[in-house]
Amino acid sequence: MESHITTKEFLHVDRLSYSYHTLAGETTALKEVSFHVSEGQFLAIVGPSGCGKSTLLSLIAGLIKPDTGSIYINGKDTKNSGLNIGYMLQKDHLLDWRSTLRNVALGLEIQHKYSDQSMVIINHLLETYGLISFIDSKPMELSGGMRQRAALIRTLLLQPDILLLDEPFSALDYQTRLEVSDDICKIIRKENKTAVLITHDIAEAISTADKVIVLSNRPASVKKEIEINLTSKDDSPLQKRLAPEFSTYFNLIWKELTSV
Amino acid sequence: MTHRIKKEDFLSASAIHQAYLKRYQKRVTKIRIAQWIIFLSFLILWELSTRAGWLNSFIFSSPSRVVKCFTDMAKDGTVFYHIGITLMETFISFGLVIGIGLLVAVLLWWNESVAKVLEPYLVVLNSLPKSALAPVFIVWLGNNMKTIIVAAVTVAVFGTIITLYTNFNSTEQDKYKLIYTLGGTKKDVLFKVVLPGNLPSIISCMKVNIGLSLVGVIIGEFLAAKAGLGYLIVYGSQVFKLDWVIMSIVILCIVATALYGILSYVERKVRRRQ
Repeated sequence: MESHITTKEFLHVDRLSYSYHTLAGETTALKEVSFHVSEGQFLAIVGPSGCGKSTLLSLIAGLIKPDTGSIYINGKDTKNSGLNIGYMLQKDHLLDWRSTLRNVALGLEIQHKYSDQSMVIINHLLETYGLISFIDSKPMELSGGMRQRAALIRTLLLQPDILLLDEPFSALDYQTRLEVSDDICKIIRKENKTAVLITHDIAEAISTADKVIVLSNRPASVKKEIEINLTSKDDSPLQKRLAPEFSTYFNLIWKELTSV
Repeated sequence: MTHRIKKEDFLSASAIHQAYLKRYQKRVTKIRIAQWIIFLSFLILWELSTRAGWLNSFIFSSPSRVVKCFTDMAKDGTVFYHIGITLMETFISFGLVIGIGLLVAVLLWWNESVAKVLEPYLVVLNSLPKSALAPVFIVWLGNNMKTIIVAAVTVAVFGTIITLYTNFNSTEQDKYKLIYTLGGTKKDVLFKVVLPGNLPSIISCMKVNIGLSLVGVIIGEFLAAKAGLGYLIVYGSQVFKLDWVIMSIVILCIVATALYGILSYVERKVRRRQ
């Protein structure tokens, strides 16, 4: 476990605020949210539904601009330097009319980075993550887990500095969800990526992350930061669910979420 | 209903399944027979009643007169000339409708403000009976093919724009987000998601439009033409050559079915590729 946590501050979110404007009025979604993530660390953010979790991720991804506050990567303000992020959405959003190969290559294609070298890397990743025999298959022929793996490979090929996961397992049924989250987390650990996961599932947060942040009701602010240290024989999420400290963390986070 | 059962599939099936397939085949055959009975009895009744003098064959024509009229006109080639003119006008109009429709729909999708501004105009133009415009086009453009094509384009183009634009806009917002998070721009959203994702709806739009273009061309030919099937129908009815009129209508039935068939074939090809 400890090996993932380095002291180096990688992503730093500094007093981020954001409001939505509609004709009905102004809704403050985030209020002075600050936290940081070290390199290679896996952070999970939990919060009551509708508290502004997805907004926070969209801000980090640069899809929307904050009203106030800044985001730093390696100490550099992303306003100036930009940020190479990988984003995983709730659904895999593989394009039905593309083969697995052309789906995973979509990002490279868009950024005009597709080269002969890419084919070697794609083949290697598809091989490693059990999709090589489905390279010419259409998404409809893949299982839910295979689809999420393909979506992750599509993201990883762009070599992002940081992975943002927006409830990527919530569209799956419970059993698939456990398998896929186990799968995806192993891949992220293996590729040694820094990751921020958003979820409303407490068990998922504890079993995947090194650190859990609990957000308050809207407008969201950081209510509590909890470092997760579980004694399990390996760091796969399924194993970690069996750790003796699991229920203690669960109760702690549950209390934080429900207390006003 | 017309799904064909392959012989090897039938032979490899179990006895119970074979019985099911046989029942299915029997039903299909029955339907086919019923269709032919209606068609043939209509033709026979028509022919007999004109021969027996119940119907005036001068006004109602008859199958034998239509066939004779067709063979006569086929000999000197005039019928093919008229069919050719109508087909050419239909294809030009169809091409223009699809081209303009796609272009404008993309433009509206690209710029929401333009779409908002143009919305009431599109709605009015789409619900306006376009045949009302045809006399205006004659005055503006003259008694020629330009008028016919413009008339045909106006019949189909507004509906096409509205349909395509609505379909483009119903693309999942998360797909946009996907492209943006992969570093793409609005152009990438258009070419990687919106257009390929809407290929089926574009083709079904084409299926509707080939028929509408034909309707528009015939309306145009009624009013401003020196050739074509629509011209034959109007001219024939004016000089009481009902054989021409009926023959042209029969040919139109066949042409419309054939054009629709071609696009259904293209649709199946594309479906399979996808």
